[in-house]
Amino acid sequence: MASVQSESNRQSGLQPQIRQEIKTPAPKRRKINKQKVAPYLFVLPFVIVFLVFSVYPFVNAIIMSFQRLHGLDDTVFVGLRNYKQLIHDPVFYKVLWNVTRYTFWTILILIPLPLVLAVIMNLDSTPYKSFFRSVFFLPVLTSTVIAGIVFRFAFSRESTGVFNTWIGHLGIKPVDWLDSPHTAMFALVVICVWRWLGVNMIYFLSGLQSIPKELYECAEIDGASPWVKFKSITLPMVRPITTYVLTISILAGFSLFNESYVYWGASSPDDIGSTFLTYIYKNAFGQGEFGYACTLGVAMFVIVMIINFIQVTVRGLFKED
Amino acid sequence: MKNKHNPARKIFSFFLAFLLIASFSLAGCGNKSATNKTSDGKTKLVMWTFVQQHADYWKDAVKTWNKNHPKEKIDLKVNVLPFDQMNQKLQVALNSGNGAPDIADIEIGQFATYTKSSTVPFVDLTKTVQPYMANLVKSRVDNYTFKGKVYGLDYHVGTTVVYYNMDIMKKAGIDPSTIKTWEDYTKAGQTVKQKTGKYMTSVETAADFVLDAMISQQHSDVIKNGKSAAAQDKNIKALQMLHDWVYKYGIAKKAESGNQDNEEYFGAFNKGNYASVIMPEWYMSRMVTYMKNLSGKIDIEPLPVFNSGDNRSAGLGGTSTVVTNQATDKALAKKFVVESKASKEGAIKQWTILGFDPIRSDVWTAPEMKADNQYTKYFGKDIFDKISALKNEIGGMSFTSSAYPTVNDQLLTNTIPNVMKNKVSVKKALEDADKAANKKLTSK
Repeated sequence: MASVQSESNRQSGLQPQIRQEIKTPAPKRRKINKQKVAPYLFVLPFVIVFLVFSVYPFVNAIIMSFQRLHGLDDTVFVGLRNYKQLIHDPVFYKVLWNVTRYTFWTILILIPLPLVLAVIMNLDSTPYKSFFRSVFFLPVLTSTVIAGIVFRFAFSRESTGVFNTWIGHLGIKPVDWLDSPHTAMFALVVICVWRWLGVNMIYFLSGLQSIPKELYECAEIDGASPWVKFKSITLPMVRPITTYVLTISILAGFSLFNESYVYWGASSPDDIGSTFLTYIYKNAFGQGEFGYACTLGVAMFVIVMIINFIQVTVRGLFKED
Repeated sequence: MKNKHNPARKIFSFFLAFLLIASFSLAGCGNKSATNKTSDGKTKLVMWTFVQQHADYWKDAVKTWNKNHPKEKIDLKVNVLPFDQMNQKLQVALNSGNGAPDIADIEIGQFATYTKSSTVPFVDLTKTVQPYMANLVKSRVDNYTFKGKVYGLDYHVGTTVVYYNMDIMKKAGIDPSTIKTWEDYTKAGQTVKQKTGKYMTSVETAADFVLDAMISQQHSDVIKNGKSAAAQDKNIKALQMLHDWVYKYGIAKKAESGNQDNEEYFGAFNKGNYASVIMPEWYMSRMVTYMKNLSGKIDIEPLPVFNSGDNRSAGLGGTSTVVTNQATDKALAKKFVVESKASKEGAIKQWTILGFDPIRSDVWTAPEMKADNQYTKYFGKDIFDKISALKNEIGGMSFTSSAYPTVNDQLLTNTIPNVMKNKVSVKKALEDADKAANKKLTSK
């Protein structure tokens, strides 16, 4: 009872003050509103740009994937026809297989190799570290197109091409690199490894440098061998980096375009080097089939989402990060 | 702290925010200015092209136009964009009905993608071209004619010829002018290979200029009634010949990088690795630029034929100039484009500025064609004497049929690479191409 009374007393005691505040509320209320509204205002430019340049085209692409589209005034809704065509399109499966293989190889090479390099670069005993770091990083600063043209010449079918000269020293006959499925894939993976090795190495290096030295010292006291230290300290500690590199590798692999385009243009012989994007490009800008190109885009989106979902779930099952 | 409520500052920040939003939202509206006249009364026209030399041609053309038409002066702005980028931008602009230039260059292989729409996004030039028709090479106008209407004019004919490296031909003891049929050519090739160890020519695996030339000179085509018809006897004969040069007679090898129009190939030809190359007239510019060793050593001859009555040449490659349906002053743009391309004065410039064989064959005998320039220095003064002889034998194909991109893609992606790898018979490869292309065409 006592407490209730005192509370009511307090309330009544406060009453005049509140009233006063209501009389002159302007500055305070505006301040509160401002604080509430300000964050939205700050993110508004991003939201608008995102809506206009990402969500709208995305939604529109899905709509267009159900249309036959040859210009503004020539749009016909064709239902699932584009999707039926997609299912029966042998090139679709070919490009899917190409990018899958490409992604597989790039992941297989571009995760362990940069990690090992990063470990070496992180050792105190490695000489000229900053020089080598720059050397490995340099390729990514060049334009893909220019590098691609150089590689295209290097992979020439002539015996004077760079790679053919090299294998010539081993007594192997000149190879027509860009004309058969396996060598074409090799050419694509080589340029990718050359280009991204340094970047992934830098990612891993930053991960390695954030591992506390004490962990290694403790392990040394316990008599751990370098391999055990690598396996039990380094690997688990760079896990978030590995996840990140894996995810961007999958995305980059499936959206491969530049390298394939400079090697072969939009159509490679027998589609040995065609990718999702070169095929979409060919359909849209080479043949004017914008509707079907959108269908391919939607298919690619779904496939990449599924793969990333699987990746996240599988890795999440083993450990909750 | 006081600053917070400083009204001047507030107004200033509002102003900044407004400016930011305005610049964002207006960035997309690159609309043409309300008036399309300059202060001195010239009509503003915008043109897009993907070749710097074409821009030079138009800058010169507008000077000529303004001199001849003082009452209808034009202020032409030419934008040169990379090939792919220009095409993408133009397709998007024409599809969306906004942002296209008044005049644009369209490569022959791209033209068909624009005529797929129910309404062609270009202005009909038929009536304006009519007075010049008699002198224009017909197959070149046909390329840009759709449903009876002319939509564009080319820069050149692309008369296809054989360029012989006379160093090698002399060594082999062969006079190229005696080569009349492809059979002669093959036999000569065997002699060349025997006596000099050099290849007679190259075959393309990623392009089809030579195949197209051979098909069109026999009056054949790869398209019939809007459908793929690659597996015709004459086409099989042509592709079989190319295949046999490599696998049966050993007189040709696959071209460096798969086609005859790239730097790697230029180097090889310049070194004297091939006795001849079959390419259109515009290949002269590649020779002059990239194959300096061969200056004065090249002989130009008509294409050999399969049967008598076949054409001894074909018009290959090309780029047309069109007036878009978004042009501000369509009538003026039409007159300007047609006059600059089809008038005598304009056609001669196609040679003097661009080094092309003009689309108007009556100027091929004009004295300007023999004037000194880098081409006459390289090939001699009788270039057009030789080309003029072919003027009624320039075959064409359905390059701009709406089915052509699909059929040609099939040929370049599957048929030719597989035939040239000796993986499949020519007949089967062409039949497969028809099947695949027609399946695609009917599903659209």
